Amino acid sequence: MEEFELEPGEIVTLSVRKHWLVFLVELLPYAILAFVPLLIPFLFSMLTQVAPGVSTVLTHAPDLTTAWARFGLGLWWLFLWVGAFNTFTRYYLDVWVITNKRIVDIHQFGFFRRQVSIFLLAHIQDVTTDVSGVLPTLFGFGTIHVETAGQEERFLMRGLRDPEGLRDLIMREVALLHDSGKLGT
Amino acid sequence: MNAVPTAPLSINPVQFPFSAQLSAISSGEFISVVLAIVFIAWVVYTLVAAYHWLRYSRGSLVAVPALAVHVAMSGWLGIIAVSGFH
Repeated sequence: MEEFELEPGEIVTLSVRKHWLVFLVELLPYAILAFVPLLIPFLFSMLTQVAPGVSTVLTHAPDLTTAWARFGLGLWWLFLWVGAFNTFTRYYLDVWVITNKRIVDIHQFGFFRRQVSIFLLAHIQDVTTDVSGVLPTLFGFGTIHVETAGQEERFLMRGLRDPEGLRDLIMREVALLHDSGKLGT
Repeated sequence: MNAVPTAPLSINPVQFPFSAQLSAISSGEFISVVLAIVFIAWVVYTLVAAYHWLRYSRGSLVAVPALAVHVAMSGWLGIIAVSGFH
């Protein structure tokens, strides 16, 4: 990670990303769009059965084995692949790094747009998790809110796996920091 | 007076913009131009993606395999696109 350097005595406790199911859901539109061209011949045959007049306008059923159809399909799938890879890039580069002194919140919004927020464990006032819905409950992912003291700042990350475990880990690190007397209170 | 015209009409059919130029381009040239545009866009995208992967996940073992899969998959889809033309 080039965004921040570890201080002396600082160790990375955990790096965490969004749950894999959240990533799969983000990929779903690309998968659906990839299959759309393959459905065109079936849709055409259904349409000619329902409305026979259509066959007088569209005289030939779409043939996906022709060279031009393959050309279009190949480019269409290439376009979708680039979009899906872009989604994976954002998924992978979006990360929370928890050390024994701070939390680094890295958001990759797109290419050339990256936000890195660092907040000290010593300033953490409140950590809240939110797991709502059937899939988040079954697969164990949700949102975590971290509120820091004084500045009314609230950091959140959606779709994190095991938010309760992460909350416990953060609070444990805060307690360790408190016990070691480094909180400055 | 004869209401039905006996000579061919002098009205030209509707001409779409650039239709003359487009009709002059062969399918081979068209494919070459489209593939060149797609390839340039793909190269720019891949370079930008590689920059981000290598810079921000340099310590990760995922970066290079991810980029390799991207290039391999793109190449395979490109082959599908041109496989019908000889």
